[in-house]
Amino acid sequence: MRSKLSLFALLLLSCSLALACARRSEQKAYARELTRAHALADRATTESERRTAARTLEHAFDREPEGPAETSTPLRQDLADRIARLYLHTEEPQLALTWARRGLAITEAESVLRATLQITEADALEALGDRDAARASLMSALETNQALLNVELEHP
Amino acid sequence: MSDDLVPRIVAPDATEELGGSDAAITADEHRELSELAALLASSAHFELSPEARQRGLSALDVELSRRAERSKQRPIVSWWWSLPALAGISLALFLPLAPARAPAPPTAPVLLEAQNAHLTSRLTGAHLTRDDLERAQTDYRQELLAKLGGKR
Repeated sequence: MRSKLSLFALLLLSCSLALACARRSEQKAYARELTRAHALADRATTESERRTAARTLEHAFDREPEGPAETSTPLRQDLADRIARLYLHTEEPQLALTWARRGLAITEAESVLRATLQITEADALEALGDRDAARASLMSALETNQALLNVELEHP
Repeated sequence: MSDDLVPRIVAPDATEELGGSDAAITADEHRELSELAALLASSAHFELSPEARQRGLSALDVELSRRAERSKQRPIVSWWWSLPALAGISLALFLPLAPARAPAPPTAPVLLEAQNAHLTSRLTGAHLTRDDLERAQTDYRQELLAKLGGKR
């Protein structure tokens, strides 16, 4: 009976270790995929290359994120912002606005990348000719950024 | 019920036998105690018959043997009892726990400062390029990717 219990405990431990290793390797694979997608966007100079890069980033955005939320959430916000920026470059502001707002919808928590997305949203709105809404987005970005900067200065 | 220490006959002046030493018992007390002693002396009335005693002992023996046999077959502490604990450990290991609130992302003071400068310049009408802002955003991205990939 005791030997069976020991065997079961050993099996449980092995499963836990295997699962932990699998998770770690999935995180690394996710990080590699994001790095490749961003590298493609870095190299994009023509309109066609930017669209291809945007689609690659969109694919990375749509997949299930790996790793802790404290890392994966800002990475997804950054992906959405990068996609929106690429569409601004290809002069597709409506798509840029859609992606900026998709990024903002990830979480309502105040963060540096939320402010970044609000700036991009403002740029898209400005490109669409809605200057008042663009200014409102910039003001929101400033408020978010200023609040975070104050916290950073008080507790560096 | 029978007890050899219980007196069978009570003498009128037998104060010590009854545990007393102060006063002699009265005639009424002597009579009552004598009746009681006579009753106790006929102990067979208060005891089980030998057959009934034998039956009881046999039943007790059977019951004790059965319990002993059962306790041999099924130990009091079974290894099955450890299953709830193992299930709890497995759950803790395998299930991702939902945090009560979203954890704070890593701080990015450089990006915050670059964004602040960019926003201030835009809202005041001055036009700065986005170079510093994009550089700071790229650095922050690298930091996040490195953290996710376990490079630091």
